[in-house]
Amino acid sequence: MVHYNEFQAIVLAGGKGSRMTELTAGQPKCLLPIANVPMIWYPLQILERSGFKEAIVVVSELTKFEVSAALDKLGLKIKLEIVGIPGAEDLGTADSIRLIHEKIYTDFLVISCDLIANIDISKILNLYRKHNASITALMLPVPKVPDDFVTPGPKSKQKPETDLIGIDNNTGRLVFLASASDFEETFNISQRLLRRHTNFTVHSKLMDAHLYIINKWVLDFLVYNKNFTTLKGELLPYIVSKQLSRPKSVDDRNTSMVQVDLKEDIFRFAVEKPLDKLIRKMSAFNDHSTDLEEAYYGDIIRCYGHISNEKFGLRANTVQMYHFANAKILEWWGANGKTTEQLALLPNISSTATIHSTQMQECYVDDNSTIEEKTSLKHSYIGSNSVVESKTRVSQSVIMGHVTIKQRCVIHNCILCNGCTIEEGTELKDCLVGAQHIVTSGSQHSREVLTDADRLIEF
Amino acid sequence: MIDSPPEKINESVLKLINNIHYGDVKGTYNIVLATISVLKEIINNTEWNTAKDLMDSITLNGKYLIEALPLEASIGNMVRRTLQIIREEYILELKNKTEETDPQESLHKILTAENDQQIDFNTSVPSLKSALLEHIVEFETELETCLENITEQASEHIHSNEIIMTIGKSKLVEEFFKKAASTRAFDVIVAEGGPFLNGHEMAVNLAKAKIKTTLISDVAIFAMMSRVNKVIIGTHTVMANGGLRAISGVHTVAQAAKHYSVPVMVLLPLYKLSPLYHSSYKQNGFNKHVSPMQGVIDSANTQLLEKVHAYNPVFDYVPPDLVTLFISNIGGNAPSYIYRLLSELYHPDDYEL
Amino acid sequence: MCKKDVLQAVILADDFTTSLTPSQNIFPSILMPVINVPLFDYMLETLIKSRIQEVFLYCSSHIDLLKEYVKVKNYKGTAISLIISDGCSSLGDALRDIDTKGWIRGYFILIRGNTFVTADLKSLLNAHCLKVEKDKGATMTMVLRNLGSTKNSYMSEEASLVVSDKSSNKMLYYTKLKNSEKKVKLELNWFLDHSEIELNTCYLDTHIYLCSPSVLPLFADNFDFQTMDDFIRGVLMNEEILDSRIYWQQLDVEDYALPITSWKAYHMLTQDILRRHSFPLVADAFSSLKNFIYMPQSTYKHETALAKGCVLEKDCILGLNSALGNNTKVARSVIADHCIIGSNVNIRNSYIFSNVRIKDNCTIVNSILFPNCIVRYGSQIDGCILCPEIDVAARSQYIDIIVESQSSGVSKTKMLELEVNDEFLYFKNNKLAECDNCSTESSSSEEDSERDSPIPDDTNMFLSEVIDSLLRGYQDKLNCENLILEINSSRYAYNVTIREVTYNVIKAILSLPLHYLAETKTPVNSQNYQKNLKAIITYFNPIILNYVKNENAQDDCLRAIEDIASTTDELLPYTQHLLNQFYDRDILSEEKILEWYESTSEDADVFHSKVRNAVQPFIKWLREAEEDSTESDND
Repeated sequence: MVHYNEFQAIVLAGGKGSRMTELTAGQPKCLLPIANVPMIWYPLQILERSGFKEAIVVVSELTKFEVSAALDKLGLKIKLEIVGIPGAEDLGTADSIRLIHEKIYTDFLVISCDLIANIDISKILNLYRKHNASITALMLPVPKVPDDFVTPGPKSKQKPETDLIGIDNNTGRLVFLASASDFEETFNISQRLLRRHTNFTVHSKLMDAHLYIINKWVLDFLVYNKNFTTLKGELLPYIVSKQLSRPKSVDDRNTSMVQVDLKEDIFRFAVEKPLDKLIRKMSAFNDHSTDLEEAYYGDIIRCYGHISNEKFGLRANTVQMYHFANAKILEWWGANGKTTEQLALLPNISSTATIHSTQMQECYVDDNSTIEEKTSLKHSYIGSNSVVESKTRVSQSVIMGHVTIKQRCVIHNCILCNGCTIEEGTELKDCLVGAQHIVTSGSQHSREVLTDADRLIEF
Repeated sequence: MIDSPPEKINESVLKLINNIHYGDVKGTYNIVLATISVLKEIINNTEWNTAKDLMDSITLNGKYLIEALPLEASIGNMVRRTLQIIREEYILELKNKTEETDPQESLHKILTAENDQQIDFNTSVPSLKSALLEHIVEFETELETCLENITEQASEHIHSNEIIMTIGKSKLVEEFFKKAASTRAFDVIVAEGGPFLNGHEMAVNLAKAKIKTTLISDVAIFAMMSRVNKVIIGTHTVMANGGLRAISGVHTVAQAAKHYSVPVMVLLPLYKLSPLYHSSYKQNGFNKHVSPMQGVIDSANTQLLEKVHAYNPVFDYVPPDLVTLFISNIGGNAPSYIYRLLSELYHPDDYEL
Repeated sequence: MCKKDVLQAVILADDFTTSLTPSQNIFPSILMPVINVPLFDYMLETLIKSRIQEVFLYCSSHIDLLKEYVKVKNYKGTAISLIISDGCSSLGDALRDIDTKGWIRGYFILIRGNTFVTADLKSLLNAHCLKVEKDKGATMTMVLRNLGSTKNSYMSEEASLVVSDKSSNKMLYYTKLKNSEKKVKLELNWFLDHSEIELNTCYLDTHIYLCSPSVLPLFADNFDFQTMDDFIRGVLMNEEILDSRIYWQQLDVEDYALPITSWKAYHMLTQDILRRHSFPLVADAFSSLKNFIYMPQSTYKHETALAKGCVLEKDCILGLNSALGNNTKVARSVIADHCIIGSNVNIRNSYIFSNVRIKDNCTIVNSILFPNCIVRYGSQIDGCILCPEIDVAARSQYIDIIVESQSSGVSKTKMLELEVNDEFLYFKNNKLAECDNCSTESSSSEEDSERDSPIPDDTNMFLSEVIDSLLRGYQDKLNCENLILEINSSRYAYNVTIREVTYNVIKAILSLPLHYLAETKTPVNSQNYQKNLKAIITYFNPIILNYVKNENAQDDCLRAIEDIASTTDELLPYTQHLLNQFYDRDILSEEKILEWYESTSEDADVFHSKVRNAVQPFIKWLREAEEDSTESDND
């Protein structure tokens, strides 16, 4: 088989959404709707726009059919190969990649299914190509959640994770990567790093978007070295820290005396191709001008970080972010000067939906749903096969598929998962209703998670 | 200026030196005006009895000025010019003859006129002072109109649809182009003039004046020259042999122009014409070597700075054979004619002060 | 904010350090001659150009010299007043003293006397005032110069870490990087409180501080602020309590500034001025340095200087009325006024102050000769500092010493013996082992990498240290005794036993040719190795003798030879010659060699026998010789 692709694309969609179990109880995380579209559509759409013709989607074996059925409906032009991995829910991202390594024959792009962003990845690809990097990562500004934004469910004291990301001001090299939670009050930074990169910025309001372009040798290393389970948490920091190291030269006589153990190290994999070496030696190019060192300081391992300045970009991996994405997606998508048409592969109101309501503002209604008379819907998404009965008010809510809302309900700022039923006269405010749950009639809830407890355990 | 000056030097001269040294007076034209006003003050305010006294005083002060600011040749030119004015007025006053109607002395006359040598300047002429001041005011007016006189000629030299190259920034060249652009359309190619890159500003100014302008890097000068009709540049000084002291990069332009037989025109207000020669390769007093950190090498690279010698001369010397025409305020002149202009402007005795 | 009538600057004539020993005994730092002109001349030119109207010169020593100097000079529009306080001994005391005088009314520029600057101070101060408009608590703005990277440069010891907020340039942490510390500790809160933090090591403190009026009271209130570093640290630590913040400002890229913090910096400053980096404060453009002729390769000659038949190679200047004899060579040096230098003199990297006389055939390298010294015929001076009025006798040889004349006579101090806390940095041997450091610690930079690379134990560290010292010593032809000192100090640093020292030193010497060949980029083969080994052993003979003194040491020596020979193919065929050499030099005794040869180690492996096979011919010869000698004894 002749492979001519420069990059392969891998979409990681096997996660179980461990930070938002309330929502993922009923369906795979990658199929959670954002503006009535499964969230995996967003990364796929990014790939498609950047000219990728094929992509590998890694999902859990259990959900393979469900996902592939959902993907077929999306009508994407990109050719998808869906790979199911048994037990993918419990595997780390690096493990998943390791398991499918036979399918990867060249440099590849890894994107997570929860990346909701409107970015142009050609810039990141170019950054990668320009420096023949080992890993290039995309950094997004941490989205600013307005103070008045209320996440459905009880108040959580979940502190957002803070990454410390050090990027060289002159060369764009990713020189330092750590999570703030790894440190207590202080942390050390090596003097060699400081002296080598004399001018770099540590960002704390950026997040790793989990979009990487990875060199083939890193995969070989990953396959060999089974200790790494995640890309973001383990592999990337390791590779970043290894940038300063030098391979132990084979003809260095020190080794014969000091008895270095011949344990395989990363430099067995990170080998500069002879042609690249020749080009580097003969070229006058240098990536920095502040000293007389050769280009890249002779480093073979080079990591780069691309900081996207797009206003919009987040990872929908928590309930807060998921809800936030739903709330803001239209505004963002439109704000970029691109019409919502791009997003709306589905019309606002599906043709098969039955609408009798006269009071609807900025609502999306999916196939086969029924909205009865005398209802009021504002800023909400109604999934397929749902029913909203009369005299009910719904605002700022996400209603997934097969949901039934009976008469005289008031639903404000809620997430209603697949197949749940809200009985008559219920008032829900800032609530999250789990899949298949039935909310008894006349009840009033505020800031609660309403699920069948046993169901959570089952998954 | 820290060290104490000799006593005989006029206060205003010292002030002028400081002003120029610390950058309060900038640009050749302003320096020339300031110098003339200082010299006028010396004539006006110091005590002198005879023309000889005055000339000695002017020479002394002038010499001090020139030594303090060796690069500003136009200062010396003004001193020489003033001395020449004193001579002329003295002779006129002395002989009380006004029949000399022809203001331009002929070549024959210069060659035969030896009587100047024997003139005794020790005679006291009371009316000399007022006559001098009058003449200097006249000269100042001449200076003021000087630039205008040059730009007036623009339409004679720039024709429709021509492509003209220039380098760096010169106020005079800019005005020259603008004047020409008021009546016809033409293209200007501006070489950026590294390392100072003044050409950028020039290109912006020209473009604002709706002249079709192209900015090129200095390395492209030769490549672009083949399509150029004319090179028009300014200069800092013109030496006695017709050679130029102009910003660095002009030599490249002139050489390229020579190769493609493109005429090189130099705008020359006459106060820039100096009776000096470029004599030595030790460029002391001819060139100004500024810090290489001003555009030549990156100052944020100490390792490089420690290891290399980098030079950053401000001026180029352009030999006269590369110049086609000087456009001065009294018309166009070939470089070979410079000696004639010189002898009209200055007295040979004053060449060396 | 800054609407005030007079621009004020405070200059501290002294910098209260001894890093320029012995110059602090001769003149205050502000009168330190740089290219024959006191530093103050350059400073004044900058002050006048920046239109600073009022300058307070704080004098604490050499007051007469300063008074004299200030009297002679003529200033345009700048009033200079002296503040005299004899015996003040720190920057903090000086500022507290100035505070009590109450002459400083508003924003002012604080300049430490050892600095050189060409920038426009007025616009810098205006920039500080803009910061004050945004943040009332901005007490001080430091002016920093971007050096790029200080690695492998004269300034490598000056490297400092600046941690600041990227958007506002607010300083969070400032410290000098010390080579001894591999890690720098940073507070996590800085990063969490600010979205973008810049970490810079490319900046150099120019010793120019733009101050708000609150600086002086801060000094007055905190008696423990002695140095500027104290002040910065103190303010940064108690930012909230003091409600004061420090900012920094980068010097314009075309401007130049350098404080003379050591002789190295002095050397660098002079070179930079000669190379015109500091334009317009350069010879022939600056009024105090007039009438110089600028020649190629950055050489300058005063119009009155005589230099016929001599070679001014590069980066040098010849002052007023100085004369050089025939065939004299000068490179990277300054020769001040009225110096008379004979023929066949070689002057490199040296500073010769006024009225020095140097007779024929002398060599002056890496040295500083203060005024009125005399160096007589054929002397050699390398890496020395001669204080004023020193008379060096003919054919003497001075290396690495400071010569001072005292009432009791001439005192000589070895540079190595100066106290460490003096921060004395001399420009000789600039190329420190820093690049070697990098290669040895290359894999120990981060925790992760430390984890899977073998952690070098102390003995291995010691070994690599010894190799470094010896390699450098061999390349720079250093004195063996100094190297022994160096090895011994490493020994204590790594706590290595004396037997291991011997073993490792021999090991180091034997492996040295490989490192040397790698350094000089010569291909490694047996021939080159042997040739170099021979030269190295000859050169380091004193060191070997020093360590291999007793029988135990001989054992260690042999053990080392065996270990190296068994792993290094280049050495193996040469081992017998090596033993022979050691035998000839009385390093190894016959008995010991034979004893070693016959000893069969418990795990008699391949290597063991390999080495023994290789040395067989020599042993054979040795035995025969032994028999001969015993026979002859018998006769």
